[in-house]
Amino acid sequence: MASPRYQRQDEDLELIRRCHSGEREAFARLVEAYQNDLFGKIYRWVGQKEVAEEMAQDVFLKAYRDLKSFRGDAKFSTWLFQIALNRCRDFWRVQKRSPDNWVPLEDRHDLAHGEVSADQEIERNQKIQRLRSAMSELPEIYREALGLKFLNDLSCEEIAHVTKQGLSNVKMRLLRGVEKLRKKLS
Amino acid sequence: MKEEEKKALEEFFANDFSPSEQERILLEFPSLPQDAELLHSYLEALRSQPVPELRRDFSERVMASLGRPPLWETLRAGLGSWRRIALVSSLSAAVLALLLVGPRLWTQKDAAILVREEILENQEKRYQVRFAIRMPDARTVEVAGDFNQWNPVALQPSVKKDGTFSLELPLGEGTYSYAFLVDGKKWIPDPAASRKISDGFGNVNSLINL
Repeated sequence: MASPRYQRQDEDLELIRRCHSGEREAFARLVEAYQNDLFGKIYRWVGQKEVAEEMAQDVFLKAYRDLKSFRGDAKFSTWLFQIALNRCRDFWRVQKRSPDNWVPLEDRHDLAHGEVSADQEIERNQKIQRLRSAMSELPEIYREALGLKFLNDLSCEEIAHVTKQGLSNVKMRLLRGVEKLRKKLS
Repeated sequence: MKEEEKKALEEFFANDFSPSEQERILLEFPSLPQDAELLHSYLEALRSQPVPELRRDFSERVMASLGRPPLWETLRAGLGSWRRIALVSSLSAAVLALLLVGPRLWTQKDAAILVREEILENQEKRYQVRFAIRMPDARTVEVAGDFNQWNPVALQPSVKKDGTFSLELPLGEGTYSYAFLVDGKKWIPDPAASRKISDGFGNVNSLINL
């Protein structure tokens, strides 16, 4: 019996085949299968719910339009994530030109609920703001490597696959990226 | 090496670097343990932030944004079985319904309430709050609330002319109720605000807590 991983891949290929035949409902099944994971990954990068939802929607729209070019030689989730990465790159390029110290209200924990002390909450929000701000200032190659590893929990091998870089290249970008990020945060 | 630095380094290397690689790296990047430890504390803050729930109608919105299928696609998908024809018919009817009703549902796009903290010279805390809403059919949008004694203040239309209106206001700590006034006539709560409150006169206002 096929492992869950291969079952998922087989299901995806079948749904994509049906999409190619004109069955839109098949694409809806793909959206439902991956929407939460994709949204979560994008949210970790951008920290804003509405923005992450909009970006996730853009990713699925692009995926639908480019579905004919998906050859099945990689996992659908990886292919989808590559589209998401390009979308995040666009987001960060715009962010670089925008004020970097805005935080969505929803990112600020509601103090009235009393789950976290005011001081802890302020410190946490400040750290998150500083981290996002520092990452937005990094060159794209380092920001991506760090984001994929530490925000999306990808291994170096997975990062190499998604970004189409060599493994040693990815590792070096992580090392230099951490060094540069620390300088910005210190 | 401190215990925290060791832990942070282990997280950094994970299963990606062999022991010999790790040795070489520590020679070339001697500050890596400290760098990793600092980064770890920031990442913990970020990871402790829960991922919000995706909106429930997300997949419907995605499918609606694909637009109407070409007729030949619908016909081709409908051939072969009554079940397929029934499915395509109901799908087409749903798409048609969405096309008729959809623009009304999605004219108003959610926008995030953005907040920036400022520390004033007297060490007091103040918040610059950016109110924003997308109303492509509106001529004017104003905001009024407890913070300005319910005197409507105009939001500025976006230079991109995409129907977005926004305004930044400085507010002190506290909880405020407010609403948007569209074209000087209609009061609506802020779609971006998760908390709402009735004003006791049949209207619903939004709540913001700073």
